[in-house]
Amino acid sequence: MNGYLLLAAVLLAGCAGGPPLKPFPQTLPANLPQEIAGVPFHPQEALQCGPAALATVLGWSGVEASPATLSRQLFIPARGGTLQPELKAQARVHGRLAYELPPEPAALLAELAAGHPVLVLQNNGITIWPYWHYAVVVGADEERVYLRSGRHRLHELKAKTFLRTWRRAGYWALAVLPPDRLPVSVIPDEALRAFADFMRVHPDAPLPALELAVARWPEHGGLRFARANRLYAEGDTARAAEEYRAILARQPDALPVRNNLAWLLAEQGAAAEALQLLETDAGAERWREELAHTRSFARCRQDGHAVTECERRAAAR
Amino acid sequence: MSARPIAFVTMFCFLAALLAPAHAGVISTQEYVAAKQAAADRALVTQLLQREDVRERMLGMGVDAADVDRRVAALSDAEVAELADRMESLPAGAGVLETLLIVALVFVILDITGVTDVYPFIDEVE
Repeated sequence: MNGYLLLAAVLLAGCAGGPPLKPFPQTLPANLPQEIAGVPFHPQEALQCGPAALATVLGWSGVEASPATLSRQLFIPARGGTLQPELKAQARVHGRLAYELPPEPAALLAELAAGHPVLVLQNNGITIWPYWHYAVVVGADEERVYLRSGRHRLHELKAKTFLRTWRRAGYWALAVLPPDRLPVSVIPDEALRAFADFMRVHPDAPLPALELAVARWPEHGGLRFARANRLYAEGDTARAAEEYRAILARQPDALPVRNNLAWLLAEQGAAAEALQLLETDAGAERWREELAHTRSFARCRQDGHAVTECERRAAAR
Repeated sequence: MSARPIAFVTMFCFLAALLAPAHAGVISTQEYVAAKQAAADRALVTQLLQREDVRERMLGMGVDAADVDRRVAALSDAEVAELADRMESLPAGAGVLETLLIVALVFVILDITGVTDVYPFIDEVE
C-alpha cells in the first residue's frame, strides 16, 4: 500500500511540474502544413538526437551535415547528450542563424505555416524522471503534431501530448535559418542577439535578414545600430552616418551610437562636431573607455594629424 | 606538471586575440549586445577564465581533446557564461532512457494516458 502511495505522489509531482499548459490557439494559421517539404530524415543513433535534429534543420536550410560529424562538436559523453548552447553555436559554425522562439504554441505554428521546421526540446518523461529529447517539428493540424524524431521519419503525436512534453522542457524551440530569412515569430531583441553572434563568426558574410528585421521593426535602435555598423564596415560612410544620426534623433543618449558617429566624423575631418557629440555624461560608466579613446582620436584629428597617426596615438594613450 | 601553465597561457593569448574588438574605434554590434546581456559586467579576464573553465570541464566530461578548442571558440560569451553556470544541470537531450523496470512500467501507463511519450510505439487511447 505504501508503495502505491509513493507512486501516486511521484506521479503527481511529475504532472504538476512546468509552466501551465498552453493549448493551441482557437484558430490555426492558414496553410499550416502537415509535413514541410524538403526536410531530410536522419534516423538517430543511440544518444544522438541532438546531432540528428541539427542535421535535419541544417539539411532543410541547404547545408549538408551528417549527424556523425556534428556529434564530435555536440556530444558530451559524461552528460550522455547535447546541450542547448552548443546546438546554437554549431548552427552558426555551419553558416546558419539560430533563433530562440517565444515559448508559445502560437509561435511554433506560425513558423510551420511560414515553412520553417522547428527544432524543439521535449521532456518525454516526467519532471522527476526527465527524458530529454530533441526533435524537429515539421507540421501540425488541429489534432496532431508531426515530427522527425528518433528513428521515426514522421512521428505523429496528439497535440495535447506533444504540448505536455514540450511544456516540461520550458517550450524551448529553435529556428535554424539561412542568412536571408527571418523567423516570423521571433522578438526583435532575440533577432539582434542572433545577428550579433552570427557576425562574430562570419563578420563579412551577407546578412539580408538584418535588412528584413530593420524593415519589420524600423523603430528598434539596436537593429538599426547593427545595420549602421555594417554600412560603416563596408565603407559606406555616408549612409552609415545618416543611419547613426537617424537613431540619435530618437535616442539622443545612445552612447555607442554617439561614439561610432563621432569616430566616423573625426575620420572624415569633422572633428569639431565629433567632439561635440562626445560631450555627454549620461550613463557614461559602461562606455567610459571607448568614449575616452574616441575623444582622444578626435582631438588629434582636430590638431590636423592623419587618421593612422591619430589611431596610433589614441591606442597608445 | 609544466605543460599545463604553458597550455593555459597559450589558450589565454589565443582567446584574447579572438575576443579583441575588430575596430578599436567604433563599438561593435557584439559589444553592444553583450552590454545588454547579463554577461555585461563581467570583465574580459573573467570571460577568459570562464572559457578556460568550460574547456576544462568539457575535457573532464569526456569531450575529445582534438575537438574541444573549436567547440569552446564557437560559443558566444553569454553561452559560455550559461555553460559555466549550468553545465551539470542543463538538460542533455539524448533520446534513450535507461531505467528500472518499475519506472518503465509507469511510463507505459503514462504513455497510454498521453502524459508522456517515452515509447513512440505506444499510442495513447482516445
